[in-house]
Amino acid sequence: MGAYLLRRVLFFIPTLFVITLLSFLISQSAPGDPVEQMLTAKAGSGGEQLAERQATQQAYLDKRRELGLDLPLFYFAIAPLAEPDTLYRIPQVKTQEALRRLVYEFGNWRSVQRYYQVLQRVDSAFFSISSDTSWGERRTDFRAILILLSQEKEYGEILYKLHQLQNKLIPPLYPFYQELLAAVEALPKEAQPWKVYIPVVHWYGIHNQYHRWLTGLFRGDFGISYQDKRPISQKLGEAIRWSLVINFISILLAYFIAIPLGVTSAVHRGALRDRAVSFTLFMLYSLPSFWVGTMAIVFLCGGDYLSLFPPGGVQSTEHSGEWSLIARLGDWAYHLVLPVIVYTYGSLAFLSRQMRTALLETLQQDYIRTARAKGLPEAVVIWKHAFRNSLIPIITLLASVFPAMISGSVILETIFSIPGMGFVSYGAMVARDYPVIIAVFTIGAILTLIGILIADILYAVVDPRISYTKR
Amino acid sequence: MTNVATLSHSPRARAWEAFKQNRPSYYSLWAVCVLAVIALLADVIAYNKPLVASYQGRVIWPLFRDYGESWFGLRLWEEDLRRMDWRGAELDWAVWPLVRYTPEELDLRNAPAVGPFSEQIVRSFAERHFLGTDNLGRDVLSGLIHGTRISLTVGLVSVGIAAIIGILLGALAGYFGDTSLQVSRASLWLGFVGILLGLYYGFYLRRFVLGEALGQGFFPFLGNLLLSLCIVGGVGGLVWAPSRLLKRTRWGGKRVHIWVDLTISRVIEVMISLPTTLLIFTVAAIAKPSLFLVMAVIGLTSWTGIARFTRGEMLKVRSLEYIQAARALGYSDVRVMFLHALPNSLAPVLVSIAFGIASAVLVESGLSFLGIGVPPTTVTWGSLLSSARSAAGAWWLAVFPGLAIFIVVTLFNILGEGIRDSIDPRLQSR
Repeated sequence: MGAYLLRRVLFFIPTLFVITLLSFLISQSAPGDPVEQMLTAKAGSGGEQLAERQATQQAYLDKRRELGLDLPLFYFAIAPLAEPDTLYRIPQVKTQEALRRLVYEFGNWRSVQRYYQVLQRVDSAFFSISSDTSWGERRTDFRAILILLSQEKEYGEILYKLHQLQNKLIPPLYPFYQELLAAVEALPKEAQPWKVYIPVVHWYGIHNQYHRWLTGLFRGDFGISYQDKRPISQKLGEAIRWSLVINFISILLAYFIAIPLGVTSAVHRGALRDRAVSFTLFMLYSLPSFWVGTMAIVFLCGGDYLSLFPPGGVQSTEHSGEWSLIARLGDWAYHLVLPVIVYTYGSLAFLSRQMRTALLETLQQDYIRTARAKGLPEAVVIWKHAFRNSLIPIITLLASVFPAMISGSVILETIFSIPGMGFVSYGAMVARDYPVIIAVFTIGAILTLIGILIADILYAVVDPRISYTKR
Repeated sequence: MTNVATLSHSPRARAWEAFKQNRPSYYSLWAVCVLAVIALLADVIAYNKPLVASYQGRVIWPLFRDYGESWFGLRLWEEDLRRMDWRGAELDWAVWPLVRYTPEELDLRNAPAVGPFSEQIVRSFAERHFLGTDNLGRDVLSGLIHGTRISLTVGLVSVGIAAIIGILLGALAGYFGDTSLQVSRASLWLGFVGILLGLYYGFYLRRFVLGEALGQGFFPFLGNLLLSLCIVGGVGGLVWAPSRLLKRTRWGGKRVHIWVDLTISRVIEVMISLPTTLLIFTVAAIAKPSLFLVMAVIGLTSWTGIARFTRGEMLKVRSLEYIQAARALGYSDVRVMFLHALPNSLAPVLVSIAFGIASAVLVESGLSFLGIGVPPTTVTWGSLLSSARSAAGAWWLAVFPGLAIFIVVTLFNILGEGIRDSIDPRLQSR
C-alpha cells in the first residue's frame, strides 16, 4: 500500500502541472493589455508633449518589467521560422500581436521589422514638430490614426488606415508618410510564405512568465488585482475563510443527516418510508440550488413577504469585536442558517442516495447472509457488518462533493452576499478583473486536487480488501 | 417480467419493454418530446405579430415574412408594415400566437415588473402578460418559451460534443487495451511526427483564424475546425506514408504495442481532477459571451463519464465470441470496433447522456444567472431568474423560471434513472 500511496502522491504532481498550465493558458487569452490596466495614465494615447510622452512610455516600460511581462511566455516556444525569437520584447501587447499576425501572413520578418521601425520613426517625428499649433485638429487626428495603425493586424485595414492618414497629413510629416507607404507596400512584395511553414523551437530557459507566475504561486503571490491594486493573496485570504467555514459546516451536516437517512431507506427497502425518502431526495437532488436560494431571499428575507432571515451578508452592520463571544456567534449563526441549508441540501440528497445504494449492495453479500444465519440480531448485522463496509464509497465521495461546493460557492455566495471566494470572483467577473478570476480558479483547482488526493488515500487506508500491487 | 417482455428476445427490445413499464421515465420521455416541440415552435407560440392576418383587405403571413428575411435574406416587408405595431393595428381578422410578445421586447407601459394578477395596461385579455413582466417590461412567459429552445440546445449540443469525444476515446481504450494495438516501429514514429506536424499546420498556424471563427458563430467555427482536422489528417498521412517502405528495414519492422488504454485513462484521470464548473465559469468570464462557447466548453469538459462507460462496456464486449468471429473473418479493427462492438456498448452511454443533459442545462442556467456566458440581450431561464434579485417582491420572477429549470433537470434525471434501470438486468427486479 505504501507504494500505491507514493505513486498516488506522485501522480498529483503532473496533474497539478497540467492545471497550472491550463490556468496560465486561460490567463493569457484574457483580452486587453495588463500593463495598461495597472497604469492610471494610458501610455498609448496620453501625452501631447514630447516630455510627457516619454514619461508615460517610461512608466509603461517600468510597470511592464515590474509585472514580468517583458519575459518570454514559456520555457520554450514553437514558432515559424519567420518569427524571430525576440518578438516578445516589443512592449505594446497589441502592436506585438499585430506584428505577429503580419509575420504569419507574409513570412518575412525583415520587412515587417522595417515597417515597425518606420512606424516608430513617424511617431517620434510627430512629436519633434508638435510645438507648432497651426495644424491643430489634423495633428491630433493623425496621431490617433497612427496608434490604431500600429495595432492593425489585417493588411487591407492597414492600407485603409494609411489612406486615412493621408487625409490628415501635415507637410512636415510628408517624407515620413512616403517612407511608411513604401514599407507597407514592400510587405507583400517581399513576402516569403515558405518561412511560415517551417516550425522552429526556441529555448528560453527559466526566465519566463510562466516560471515566474508558478514560483509566485508557491509563495502565495497571485499578482495584483486590477480593481483596487491590492495583492490578490491578501484579498482572497480574507475571503477564503468564509468559504471554508460554510463549506465545512455544510459538508459535515450533509454527512450527518445523509448517512442515517440512507441507512433507514435501505433497511426498509420498498416500504412507504423508503419510497417517501427516496422521492423527496430525488426532488431535492434535481432542485437547482440557485433557484432555492433566490426563492429564499425573495420570500423569507425581508422584501414584501416574510422576514425571518437577514437578506444576505454574514453579520449585522452593527456587529463589532466588542460584543461577547456568544452574541457574535449568535449573530453569525443567524446570518448563516439559510445559506448553510441551501448549501447542504443538494449534497445531502446526493450522499443519501449513494448511501442507500451502497448499503443495498452490501446487504446482498454472502457474508451478510452468514451473519444472519448464525443468528446475530438484525441491528448488529446492519450496523456492524453491513454499514461499515458500505461506508467506504461514501467517504470517497468527499472528493466529488468538495469541488462541487467550491464552484457552487460562486452562485450561492453571490445570492447571499457572503464575502467568500465565490463572491469575490463574481465581482471580478463583472469588473473583468482577470488576475483575480485566474487566482480563484487556480486555488479552487488545487483545493479540488487535494480533496481528491485525500479521498484516495482514505480509500486506500480504510479498505484493506483492495490490492494495490497490480492495477 | 411481463408477457410482452418474455416474448421479445433481443436485449434491446427487452430493455425498451422494461423502460415502458417504468411509468415515470416513460412519461418523462413524452414530456421531453413536448418540450422539444415547444422549443421548435417557440416562434409560433410566442411572437409579437400574428401568424396570419388580414390587413386593409390583404392577407399577410407576418411570421413567415420575418423568417424569409432573417433566414434567406429576402426583402419581404414594405417599410410602413415593417415598423407597424401589429397589436395596435386595426386588423380585419388575425390568428395570433398564444403569447403576443417576443422575449426581448420591452413593454414600457408594463415596466418595471408587473405581476400576472396585478393590473396591466393592455388592450385586451389576450394581450396580458400571463406570467408577468420583468424589470424592463419583457414578457416572462414568452421568455420561458423561447428559453426552452436555448436550454435544450445547450443540453443537446454540449452533450453531443461530449458524446463524440467520450465514445471515441472510450471505444479506443476499451477495444485495444494496452496490448491489442500493434504497429511497426516505423509507422509509430512517423505517425507521431506526422501528427505533431499536422497539429502545427492545422491548429497552431491557424489559431488566429480559428479564434476569430469562434467569435463569429457555430458554422464558421465548425467549417474551420473541419478544415484544420483535414490538414492534420493530410499532413499526418503524408509523413506516415513512407513507413510502408521503412517497415522492411530491421529497425522499422519491429512490432511495438501502443498503450492506448493507459494513455487515455491518464487523460481521463486528469480531466476528472479538473474542477469543470469552475473552469467553465472562468472561461466564460474571460471570453466574449456567446452561447456556442458555453456549449463547447461544457462539451469539452464533460466527456469523461461517457468515455469511462464506453470503455467498460467495450472491455466486456470485445471478449465475446461474435467479436472474435468477426476478427477471424479478417475484418479490419476499425470495422469490428465501430460496426460490431460499439453498437452493443452504447446502452450505458444513454444513461450518461440523459444525466449529462440535465447537468448541462443546470450549468448553462447557472452561468446565465450570473450574467456571464450568454450575451446580456439573450433571454434565458437563468437570466430571468436572476432578474428576481433586482425586482423586490416580484415572486413570479423567482418562481416560474426556476420551476422551468427544475422541471427540465428533473425530467432528464428521471429519464436517466429509467434507462439505467431498464438496461441493467440486476436492478430490474427492484
